[in-house]
Amino acid sequence: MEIRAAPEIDFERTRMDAPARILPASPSYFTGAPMFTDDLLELESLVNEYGRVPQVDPDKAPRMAWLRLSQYRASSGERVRASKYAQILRLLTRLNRIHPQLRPEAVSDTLLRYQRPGAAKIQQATPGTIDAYGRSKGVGRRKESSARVFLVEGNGEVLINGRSLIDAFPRIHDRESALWPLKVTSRIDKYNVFALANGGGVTGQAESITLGLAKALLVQEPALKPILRRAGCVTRDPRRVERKKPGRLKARKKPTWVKR
Amino acid sequence: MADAAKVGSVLALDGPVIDQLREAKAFKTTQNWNLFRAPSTLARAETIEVAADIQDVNDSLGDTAGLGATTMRRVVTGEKASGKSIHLLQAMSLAYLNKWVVVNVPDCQEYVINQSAYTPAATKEGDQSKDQMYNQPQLAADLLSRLAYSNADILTKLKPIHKHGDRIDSRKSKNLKDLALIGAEDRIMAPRVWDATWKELTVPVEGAKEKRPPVMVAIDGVNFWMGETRYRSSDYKVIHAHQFTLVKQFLDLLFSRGQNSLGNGGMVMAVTTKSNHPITPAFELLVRQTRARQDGVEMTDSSFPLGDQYAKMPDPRVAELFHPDTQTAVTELKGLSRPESKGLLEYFAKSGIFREAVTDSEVAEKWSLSGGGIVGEMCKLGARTRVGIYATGPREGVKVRV
Repeated sequence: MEIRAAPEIDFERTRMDAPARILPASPSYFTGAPMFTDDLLELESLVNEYGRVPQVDPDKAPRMAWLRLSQYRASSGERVRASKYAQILRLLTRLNRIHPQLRPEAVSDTLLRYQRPGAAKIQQATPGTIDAYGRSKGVGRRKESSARVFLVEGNGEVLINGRSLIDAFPRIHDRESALWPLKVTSRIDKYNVFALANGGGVTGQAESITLGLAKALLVQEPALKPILRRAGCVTRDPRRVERKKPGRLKARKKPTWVKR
Repeated sequence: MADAAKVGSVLALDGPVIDQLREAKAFKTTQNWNLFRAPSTLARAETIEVAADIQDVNDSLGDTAGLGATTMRRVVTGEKASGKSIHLLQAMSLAYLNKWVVVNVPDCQEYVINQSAYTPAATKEGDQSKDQMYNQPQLAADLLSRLAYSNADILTKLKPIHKHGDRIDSRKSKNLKDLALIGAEDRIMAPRVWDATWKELTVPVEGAKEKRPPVMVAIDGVNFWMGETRYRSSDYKVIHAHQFTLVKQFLDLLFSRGQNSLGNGGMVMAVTTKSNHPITPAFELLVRQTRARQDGVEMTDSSFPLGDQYAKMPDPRVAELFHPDTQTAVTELKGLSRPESKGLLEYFAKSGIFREAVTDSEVAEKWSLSGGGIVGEMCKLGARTRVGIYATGPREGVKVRV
């Protein structure tokens, strides 16, 4: 066998601008979605590096609207799956929780890239107003019921769907839960309530009035938010009736188990 | 109870009055008497009005029997648990204290649900166009029994002054109590004895020096009498409530233009009931119309309440009851005022049932939660049990009333 050396490099004719061997810009080239993988790794490295910086509570973090899946796909050009994109969103919310005043520039710049265009205007929640008659409005929902609650300063009169509190809610429990925001803040005798509830049943309507009343009260007195949150009036109860599934008699109830 | 300064305070009833009310079946088991040692009631603004009415009747009486006698007619309505039956009890107590004779119908439902015997009353010749009337012997006997025992002191001092026909020998009964007891013990005689006793109490002999006391007629649940009953005639046709003699007698008294009145003076007070009540659209409409007229709304006004044009025709017998010349006043019992609510809650607190401090804000909270001061609801809130559980110790896990 004869071993021959490579031919001498002719520098006159060899092009120096092209690389001798083309390497990919990033190792992600060898993955199915390189841009996505790069983004994911970048965010993960930021979380690892700045994970110890003090955070704020989730509800106190700045409200951000991230790129929608369709927008991200358009920007990266890759058909990223929703479950994969959810990983990016999770990391973004984690980075967003870093205290804004202590946030490194690298993190801020990265987060800006993922912000939805026009988001600043969209995300500003319009605060409720008190109209010329002194009324504030709040909307609450629970199960299938929804309620519009109007709150005005008064002496403690309550009208629900045009009827008195006793007519609307025969149960004491429902009456108390409807007026719970006012009871917890000792303001039952300071406001008059006018509520219009529809849908659902009696207790659902009562609980929807709870939420609507809390929102209306927060318009009148925003400083009460921590008290109402601890009292459980601010969160919309997301529980709904579970659907019936095939092979079962109800959502969970199964037919009698037979050994054979 | 008649003092205006006492509004908002809870006043105890006298012992003899309590016995009389018990005989008249004025106390109901659904009321909260068993929470307290002695029966007491809250003096409301409406109580003062009733006391003033009773005083007016007393003042109008002249020197001789039947002279200047006035009959007050009242229908009291209100929401459920707004205190209507207790208002009636207060009126009865005031009547007993003023030495009146009290006739009590504690539950109008008994007259219409076909759980008491009924017999056709004899119709006079020439009255073929009129409805067949019916007597209810047992209910008449019960009425006489309540009358006799609750007004025993007064009735034993009154002698019969009228002649009552062959079957009732008024010479045998020395006084009106004995006369009433004849019917109370023998229900077949009861309708006749009732007519006789009623005549003795309400028809004075002109110019007689001995005055008979005024009569208070107390009716609870009058909306049961404003429609058809569960009774059936021999042709299996439904009988209307106004075909029963006792019902018709009381309603004629309550709604008359002055012909059927209490000859010796007195008051007729009828109270509606909102719990387990029949649907009586004609009666409710006419109550609303009477109240509108009382408030000064003319019949031609746009705000005058009119019936639903697409509903069934209203009951003609009920529609006849009200007319423009009626003297029957309709009052509605609304919620308590703040001072009255405070007085009630203080009473509960002093009785050891209401454990919170009775401050103005607490009173205001309970006032709102009871739908604007509805008495019954406020009593429920005042008597609510708080249950505590022992966390440690020998009684760990045991629930006790705090």
